[in-house]
This record gives sequence, structure tokens and C-alpha cells, in this order.
Amino acid sequence: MSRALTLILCCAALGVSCDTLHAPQPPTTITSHTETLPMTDPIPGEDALTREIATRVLATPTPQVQQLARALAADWRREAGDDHDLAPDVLAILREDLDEALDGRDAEGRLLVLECEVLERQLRGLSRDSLALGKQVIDGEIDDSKAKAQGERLLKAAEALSPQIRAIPDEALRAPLQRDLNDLTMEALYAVERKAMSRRLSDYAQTREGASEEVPPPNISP
Amino acid sequence: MSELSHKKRHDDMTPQIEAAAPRGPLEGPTMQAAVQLRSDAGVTGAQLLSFMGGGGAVQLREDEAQREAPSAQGGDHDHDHDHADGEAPHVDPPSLQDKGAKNKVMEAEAAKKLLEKAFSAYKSDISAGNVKVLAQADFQVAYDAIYGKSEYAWDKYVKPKFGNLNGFAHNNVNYINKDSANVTTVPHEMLHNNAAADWRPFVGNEFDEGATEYLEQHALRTGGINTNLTHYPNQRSVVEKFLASGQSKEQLFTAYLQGGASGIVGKHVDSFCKGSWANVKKELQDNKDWAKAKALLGPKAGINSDWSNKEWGDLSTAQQAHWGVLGWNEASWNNDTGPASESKAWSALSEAERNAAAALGYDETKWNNE
Repeated sequence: MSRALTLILCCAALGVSCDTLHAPQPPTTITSHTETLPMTDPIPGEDALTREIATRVLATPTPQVQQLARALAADWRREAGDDHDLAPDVLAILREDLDEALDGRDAEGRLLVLECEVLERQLRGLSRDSLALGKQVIDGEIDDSKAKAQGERLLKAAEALSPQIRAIPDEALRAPLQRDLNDLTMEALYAVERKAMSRRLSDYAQTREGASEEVPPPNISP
Repeated sequence: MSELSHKKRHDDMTPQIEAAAPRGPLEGPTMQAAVQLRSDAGVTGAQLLSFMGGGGAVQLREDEAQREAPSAQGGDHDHDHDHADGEAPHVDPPSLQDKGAKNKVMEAEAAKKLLEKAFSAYKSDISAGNVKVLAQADFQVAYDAIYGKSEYAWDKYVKPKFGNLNGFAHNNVNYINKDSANVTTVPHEMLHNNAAADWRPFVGNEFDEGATEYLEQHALRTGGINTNLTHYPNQRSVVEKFLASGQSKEQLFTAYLQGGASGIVGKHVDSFCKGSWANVKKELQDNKDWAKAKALLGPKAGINSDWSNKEWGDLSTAQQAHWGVLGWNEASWNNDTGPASESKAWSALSEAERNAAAALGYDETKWNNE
């Protein structure tokens, strides 16, 4: 089974749309914006971005490339936002970064880059959820059973993505995804077990502790 | 570039902004093989935990590695091209031709000397931190000492679900799997332990990781170790974009090791960049939207449009430094005797010159049109 197909099936299993990648991001927001943009809008719509990304990857995109490009385009639009003063800059950087990642690779390698881009975007969405959950736990804004359930759901998501990430043959592409996956896993584990967390969540926890007079500062003695 | 120099260009419609330039540790025999680094520093989140930490899997920037290859001892590297003089610390510089070199883990003492050499001007008392680099078997034992009796035990959970781990933290000790560590790991973790108390809380974890890697690479190059192994390519690119906005790496080192991030990072971004620091941090921390963060770090409109009305003394230290890279000095600026870069097209500029020009708000189109 190809990684792309696995990714699509994985999205379905997770209840995450491969088109939007992140459940918290309503796809209708992007779609409606795309459909109503005038032709002169400096922010390209999702369809135009899809075509652009697909042809950047392959001069004659395969259906697989087009499907992955659509997923990536949706998240590019989300990241770019609707600020006409900023979105073109964001898209320019995204194009530049993608071209840099594709540079010097053959067709198979370019497809792999695209798959990894989509995976990375999916991880970002889950990562947002896990960080938010961890903060809620630290702040005592969520009860234990609910936090445990949400943590277990995120752990399942991490477990589902793990085989795809481990199967990436290119270490340079695999490494950042593994690290992101581990951050996600640690935050989910923290919600479940309360034993450890990611560094970024630890930073948040320490900041919170530092703000409290009741909690002593970290041990700084030798 | 036209015959007119940059500073003679006028754009009365977009005056230059006058904002002030910023001037439970484990015990037992299995742990004895570990590289243990004890901390005596103000502890930040860096000590606490990381699944991957600095010991995560490795990405080698091939293009940079190739650029460095001809000069394995002290070549010029990106825009961080200051190499310390004097004797290098006793470390074991890996050859770029040695594919196994990136897996060599630096001893704690060597890492400490490396950082002292690179950053003694900023911090005299580099502390070693509290990190354990463990061989695979010991690493698994350490993990199972915490999780072994739960459903998340190594053999029951980690191995089938994730295959392996690169690191984790518990009770303020950072455990790193030696098999996934490399020459950058210990200096990286040690740097975290030496960050100023206000650094990480102000900049957040993502910017901190990028900056830590930037400092780590600076230290390695200063010690004659030319590698561009990177664990945080996205975060580092954001830091490089921040530096391209006009802040100097020396100021970055100061903020990281001595303090003052709110001024050196926050006020600088607020004064000179398109977006506010608060928004940049939000995109980094909450969204991991690297491209958006970098776009927000682009130059604020009107920030550089009228250099001709400026005296050399009006420029910030950072701006003088960037113009200096382009060949200007106080005398030539005041006499309007443009350096060679003035007549070069963007494509003919060196990388350092392009970086300096970018920091002053130029891109290829703007440079070539002027």
C-alpha cells in the first residue's frame, strides 16, 4: 500500500479530512472564501493553489499527486489567512520552502516530499490539540477522566501515524516528523499518565509555576 | 543597481521609521555508563524533558555540507562567519566524509570547553546541566523504570507502536538515547541549561529551539567542527529570518546567555518587522506555522525607504553593520563614495551581501531597480 493511500486511509480512520487535515479547521471557511474571491484577488484560491502545487511537484501530475496537492493547498490557505498584506508573503515563503525541498529530487523523491508535507501538516493539527489539552491539564481546567479520554484519543492518532513516519526512507524528511510525533505523544501521555510531557508544555508549566508564589522555583543547586 | 547609491535614493512617501534601534534521576549500575551532566544553573524547561531533545534524529543540510566540505577547518558558513582565533578545545572534529561522524557523541567536558570558547564573552560560568546520554539497553531500562509497570512499558507499547524513542525526561533529568544522538546533542542540551532565566519564558520553546541550534552550530564551528546537522530546520529558519530583520547575532547571544530578550527580540520585532512579536510567537507556539512567522518577521513598510536622509550616526549599530558588509563605512557614507556592491546586480552579490541587503529591506527586485 502506498504511503499516500495509507495517509488517506489514516485520515479517514482518525476522522480527519485529508482535504483540510485539521479537524478544528472548518473546511467550509476556506472553501467559501475560495469560491467568492474575485479574479483579481492577490490571494489564490484553493483550486488554483492545488494546481500550482501539483505542477511544482510533477510537470504532469498524477491523480495521487493532485490529491495530496489538494490537501496541502487547503492548509496553505489556512496558514496564509485572509490578510491581503500578509498572505502573499506567506505563500511566497511556502512556495520557496517547497521548491527547496523538491530541488534535486527525481519523481519518486518529489512525491515523497509532497507526502511528507501533508503528513507534517496533519501532525501540526494534532499537535495543536495536544498542546491545548496539556495546558488545560496544567491549568486544572479539565477533569481527569476527560483529559485521560482525550489523551488516549490523541495517542491513538499518534500510533496511527507512526508506521507511515517510520516508513519514510529519507532520514532528512523523517527526522522532523518523528520529533513532532514524539512531542504529540508526550503531551498525550501527560494527559493520560501525568508523568512526563513535551518540552514546550514543560515550558508552559514552569512559567505557570514561576507565576505562583506557592510553588517554589526549580532547583538550581549543584 | 543603477549609478545612484542607496543612500542617495529618495522616497518621500515612505519615510524611515524612527523607532529606536535596539541598541528522578535513575540510580544503579546501568546508569554508570551514562554521560551525566550536573546542573548548577538556573533551570529552565530545557532541563525537564524532551522525547527527542537535542538527541533526536538528524537532518543533514546537504547543500550546506557540500559547501563546507572543501574547508573542513574553519570555512565560511552562511551569515555566521566569525571564527574564533586561538586554540580550539580538545574535541574530535568529524570528517564530513565520515558518514558515521554525525553519530559521535561529544563528551561532556569537551562540550563544556567548546561552549566556553565560543561564548566566554557572554557567560563565564558555563554549567554542564543534567542530561544522561544512555546506550540503547540502558535507555530502555531507564524508560521502564518509569513506565515498565504500566501499559506503556517499552516492550508492550513503545517497541510495537513507535519502534524506538530518542529521549524522554523525568524528574528534571533529560534522558537521551545514545544511538540517536550525535556530535551536536550534548552541546545543544548544555546550551539549554545556560540560557538566561528570562529567555525561554519570553521567546517560547520553538524560537528557543531554533536559537539553541543556531548557537550550537556557532560553537561547533568555532571549535573547528563543521557540520550542519539539524534537528530543528524550521525553527532555525525562523531565527535566521529574525536575524535578517536587522538584529545581530551578538545581540542574540546576549539575550540568550545574559538576558534581555524582551528588548533584543520583542522590541526589535515590534519596531522593525511587519508583525508584532506577540503574533510571531503565537504562530510559532500555538500553530507551528513557520512560513507565517517568517512573513511576520519581514520588514515593516517604510522601514528602509529613505537612506539618503540618514547620516551614518543616525543608523543603528545593526544597520551600520549591514551596510558595512556591503562595503560602506562612515567615510564613504558621508562622502557618498559607493563601494563595489553598489554597481552589482543582486545575483552578483555574495551570500553575505545579500543577507545584509535583505536585512536592510531589499529583495532582488528592489535592489536591481535602484
